[in-house]
Amino acid sequence: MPLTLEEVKCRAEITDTLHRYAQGVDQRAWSLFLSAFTEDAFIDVVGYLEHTLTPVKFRDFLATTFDEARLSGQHFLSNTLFRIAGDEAHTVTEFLAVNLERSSREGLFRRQVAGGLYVDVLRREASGWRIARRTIVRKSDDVEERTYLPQTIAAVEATLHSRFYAVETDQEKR
Amino acid sequence: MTITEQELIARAEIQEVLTCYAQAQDQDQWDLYERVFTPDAVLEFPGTGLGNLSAAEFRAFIETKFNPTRLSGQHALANTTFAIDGGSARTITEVLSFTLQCTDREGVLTRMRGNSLYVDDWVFSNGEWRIRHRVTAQKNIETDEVTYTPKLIAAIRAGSSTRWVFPEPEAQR
Repeated sequence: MPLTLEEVKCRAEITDTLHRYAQGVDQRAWSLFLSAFTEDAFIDVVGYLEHTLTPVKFRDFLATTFDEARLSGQHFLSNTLFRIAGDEAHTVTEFLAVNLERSSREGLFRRQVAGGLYVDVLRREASGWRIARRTIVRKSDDVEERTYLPQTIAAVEATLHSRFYAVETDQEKR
Repeated sequence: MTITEQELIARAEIQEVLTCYAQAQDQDQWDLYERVFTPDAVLEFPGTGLGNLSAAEFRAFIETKFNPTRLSGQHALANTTFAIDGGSARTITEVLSFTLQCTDREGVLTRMRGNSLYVDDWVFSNGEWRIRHRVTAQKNIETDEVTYTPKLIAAIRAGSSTRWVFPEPEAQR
């Protein structure tokens, strides 16, 4: 399908929004995370969370239940397919998540590698493209226990509380 | 190197076709696959025993031999380099693949994790980019067994049986 420069720009802006979500979760930059969504957005996680959540409720879940044991995490995004019509867009994106979680035993960690899809409806608002509806589809979820050396963990922990994003405030950092 | 607006658009169009290939396989949505290759395209798989296949032969292989027992799959594409010269181009793309296949034992799945490279030669014709030659260079592949709970398998099945990728408008096919 031939593209216009305007559509290529939209794709770049939408990609930026998708990245804000991933970086927001992975660096616990919650204002960045929330900036990916419209105020009336909702999120479904098929086969994981029973109820539809607002971005704030999902943020609360991630920042408490999910983050209690998490040491570090990455959500790699790829293969985004776009359909843009005026101020609405649909995208489908593969994600690969790698999380490292603490256990009750010193030096022992749970490594989770999970894959799936983000199926998104986005809306262009005055502030830019925002996710209005996100469905998270699970494809795989593998967990194994691993032992890490103290110096490895120290290196991971060294940057956990760094402020990498200009949009954050002290209050928003955990 | 300065990128022109024309090249920027060409890159986005090529990227979309690469994405259609991966999404077609991973979401079992073969209408997307039909946008990827020229009718006379050749797909090479050095060292795998597959030989050289046409696009139709490769689709038939995946659809009939591979996907019937597949629970889920991902071909994550990254790091594409572009060399575009008028109406032809070469791209080189890293691929991280992840597949779960069902076995005859309940809850036991065969997990395949692989790394490879797509080396693609493109042609621009009738207003669209298509691959006329692909070499899939295998870098690494690991196969093992994992056990999933019935609940997780049901959740994955529910996702894989839904058509997530939007249908193409007839006029754009």
